[in-house]
Amino acid sequence: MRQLFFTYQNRFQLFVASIGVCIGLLFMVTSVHFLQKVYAYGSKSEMLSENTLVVQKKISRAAHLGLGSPNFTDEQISVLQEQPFVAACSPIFSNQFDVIVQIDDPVIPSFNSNIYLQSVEKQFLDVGIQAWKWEESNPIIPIIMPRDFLMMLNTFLTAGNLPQLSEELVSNVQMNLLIGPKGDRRVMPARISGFTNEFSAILVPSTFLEWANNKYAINKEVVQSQLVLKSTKGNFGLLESYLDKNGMESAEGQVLVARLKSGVSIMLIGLVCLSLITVALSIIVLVQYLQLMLTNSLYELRIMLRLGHTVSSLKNVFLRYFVMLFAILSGIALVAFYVVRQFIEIKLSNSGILLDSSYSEASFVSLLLVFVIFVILVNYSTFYKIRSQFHA
Amino acid sequence: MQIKFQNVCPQIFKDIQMTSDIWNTDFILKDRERIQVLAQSGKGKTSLLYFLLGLRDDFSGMIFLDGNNSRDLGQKEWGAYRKNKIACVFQDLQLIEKLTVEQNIQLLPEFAQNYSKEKAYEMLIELGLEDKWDSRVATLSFGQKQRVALIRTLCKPFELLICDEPFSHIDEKNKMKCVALIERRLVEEQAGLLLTSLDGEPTLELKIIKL
Repeated sequence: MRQLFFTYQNRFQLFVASIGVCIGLLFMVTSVHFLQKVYAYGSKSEMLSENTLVVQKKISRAAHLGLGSPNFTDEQISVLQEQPFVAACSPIFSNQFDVIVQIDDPVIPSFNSNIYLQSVEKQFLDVGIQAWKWEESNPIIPIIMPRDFLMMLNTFLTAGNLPQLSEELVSNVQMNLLIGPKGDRRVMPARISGFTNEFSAILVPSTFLEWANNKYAINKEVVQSQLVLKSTKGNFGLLESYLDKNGMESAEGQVLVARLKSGVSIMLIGLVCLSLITVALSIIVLVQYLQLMLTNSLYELRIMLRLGHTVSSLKNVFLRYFVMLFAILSGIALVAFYVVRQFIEIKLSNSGILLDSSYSEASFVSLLLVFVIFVILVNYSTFYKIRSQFHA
Repeated sequence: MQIKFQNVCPQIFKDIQMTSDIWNTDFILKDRERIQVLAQSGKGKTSLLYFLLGLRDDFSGMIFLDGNNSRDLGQKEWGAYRKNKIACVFQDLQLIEKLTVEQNIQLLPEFAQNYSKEKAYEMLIELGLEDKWDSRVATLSFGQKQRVALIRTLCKPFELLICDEPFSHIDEKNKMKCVALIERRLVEEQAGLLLTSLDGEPTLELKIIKL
């Protein structure tokens, strides 16, 4: 039966269709593999985390003259929150009292400095932290320190011929925050809970800042001069132009990073879409070839049915052939994938991007999924085509 | 195998008040009965065979195969009839020209289980085609093809043998050989025969009916 249906077919068409499937599968397996690896790399390196921006109103001459307020009103914040490209938005609260950080630890030299504190909602933090809260009954204040601050500290330590501090070491350092006006200062113990790349001020829980502002602020009026916001995925450009149009600005570095993040995300999604289209097209090509083969074999199929063969038994002949063909093409695509993967990983490694070199399960799962879809398509299309000849 | 025709008439004859021994009347083809259907062209001989094989159902009335209404039979049931109960030599032979004689015979479902290659070859010898075993069907004359089609039909179990003008291009000498082979196989399978032809086949003992 194999000879009857397959020997006299146009091999060139099959060859072209097979090459299409091979390329499609290679493209899909490779893109899914690198999508998973790049996402894993990106989330570890914050390359692909959500875009978080700290924005403020542009400083103008009018603001200097007291004609325009640099602060955001509640109404302005709620208008911003309603924009479709804004995933979340919240004011940043700052300390309205004097704060001095004092390091009092035998491991590192003593250190005193005036600092600024800020608090943001937990959802905006780029630090995985569980106990981000402060209560008056538990006076230790958890703080999140900007990495830039630690780098600056290390620069000064080096200049003074002192050893540099690691994040781990600093996390265990005993420090105090001296809050309040001179003569009425209160010493409060603090502990570093994490480090941030997004914020340039030292962050504390909002409960602490509310309590301290109530207690020590000279001006009790709440100041909302900065906002923190996240854009919805792929819409950073819309947010950027909105901010520009409404007289708001953000740090240029943050904007650049946000643009890059958006670009990388869109490119990765585009790559997956493209590979899915390629695979779909290549499967269509192969199924079309099958249909052509069946159409060319209608006379033979009718004879077989008249001789007493069942629709299922004839369908299985085609199914077995195409499953075998697809398995061989998958094998070739996997071998090609191995070579392409090695090549790309070497290139990325040379560029300083070290991806996890293990095989991604997702690429094999996607191959299996495509295989299942292909088998279902072949099974049903063959069955119905042959069945249509049963009473012919 | 018993076949009952109840007021059967092909759709193409519905506007003509056509009556014959089968059309628009009740007729029973009894188990092991041998019948020759005599009719001129265009009287529905081939249609009758196609109705019996479930290849067409454009007829009024009802056909019962072993008591089962043909219209109620599903593909599985028809498959089983075609495989084990009804064998048919088609007028257009239904051979695949690009395959050899051997390959055409081996197209029968479960050929090896039901009939050996040796027995098929013996039949070929019996009909004078022993040198054609490996020949492609396309290279044979129509008369030779008719004999190959007959052998393929006889290489399987059946309860009713249907032959649609099987000897139209076979000379008298080979026709006698074919008749002898059919006779032998009918006895072996204890089967009935439904043969259509334009004129009589005096070498077979047949009940003649007319369309």
